[in-house]
Amino acid sequence: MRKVMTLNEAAQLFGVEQVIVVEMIRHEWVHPEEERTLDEEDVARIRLILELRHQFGANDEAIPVILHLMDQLYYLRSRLGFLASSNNK
Amino acid sequence: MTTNPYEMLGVSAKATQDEIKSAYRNLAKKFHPDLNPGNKSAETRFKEISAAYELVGTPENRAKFDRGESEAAQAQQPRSGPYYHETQAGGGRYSQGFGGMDDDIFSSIFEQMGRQGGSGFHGTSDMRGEDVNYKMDVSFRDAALGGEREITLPSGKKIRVKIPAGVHSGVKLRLAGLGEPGVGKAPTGDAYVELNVLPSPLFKREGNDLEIEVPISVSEAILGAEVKVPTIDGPVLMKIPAGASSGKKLRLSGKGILNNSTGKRGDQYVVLKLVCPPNADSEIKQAVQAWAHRQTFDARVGWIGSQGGVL
Repeated sequence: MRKVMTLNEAAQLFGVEQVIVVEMIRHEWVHPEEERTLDEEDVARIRLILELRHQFGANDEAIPVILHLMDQLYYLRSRLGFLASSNNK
Repeated sequence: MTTNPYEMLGVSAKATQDEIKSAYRNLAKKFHPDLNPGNKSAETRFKEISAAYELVGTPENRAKFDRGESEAAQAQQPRSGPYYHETQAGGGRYSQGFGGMDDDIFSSIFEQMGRQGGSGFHGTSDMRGEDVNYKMDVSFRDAALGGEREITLPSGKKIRVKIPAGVHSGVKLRLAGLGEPGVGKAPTGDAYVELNVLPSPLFKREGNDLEIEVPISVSEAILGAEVKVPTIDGPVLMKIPAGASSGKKLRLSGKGILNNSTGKRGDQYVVLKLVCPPNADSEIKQAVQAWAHRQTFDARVGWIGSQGGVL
């Protein structure tokens, strides 16, 4: 069972206008599997983008670059974890 | 652990709101869990920093805290939902778009680690130190008979190196444990010293055989003689048979260089070189003339050049 929420619910959760969330989807920083329905991954990603903006001072130019690098890092981590476990068997 | 938000953020209690904000941002960049996936202590630090900033990050909250109306414990609001990296661990939608990356790289890295460490991958990588290669000149004598040399490593350490008898150019001596240090618990690498054997002015070396040219006089050549011939073991008396020509090769068995794989020594060949006296006196000239008239020896019989020069 996937936990999902609407764009409005997500905006309320983080105390921002819904238009902010819509913008993130329009920029393709967040791409929900189903239209106007956010799953846990999307919500966590929205939170990360808000933190990048407000805590890190990242601007709209930098955000997609950071997201892309982070996603690559997580991909590599999961591949390494997989190979390390198969290597130890 | 301190619960004072100013100390937590590394600022003084008199810091301006901007100073607090920039201190918080700097710490957040360092400890944000999404930048330190899987690092629990970074996550704890991040929570502490966030809680501290919650208390003093805005002028209103800060005034409340300074009046003693809010405390650290109250500020710890539970986070609603997982960190982003937690949703991607073990393969999330967003971090699976890199399938084009070459997985062979990983496989080969792991194979290599398994070989070098001998124990596979355990999170920390123990790696044997690199081997280091050196080159060293050795004298003909040390190569032939064996010897010892003191060499200075780049680290400044002086070591004595034993040169086994019978080595030739290109032989590599292994100095175990004198390479680069290993990583973690892995052993130090080895040093290899490649030898270059210097030539001898006396001996020509062909494998494990030696060759030396020995000048003899005309009378020694005609009458035969015993001459002192140098060998690598010291001079020996060698019998020159009567009637020996220049270029004749004689053999001193077992006087060559030690073959390390068979344990046997090669041979030393002695090549005779007939030397005429440069200023022969008239007595010798007359004697040779008288002799030349009497005999019919042709030095060029059977020589291919006497047939008119066949190319």
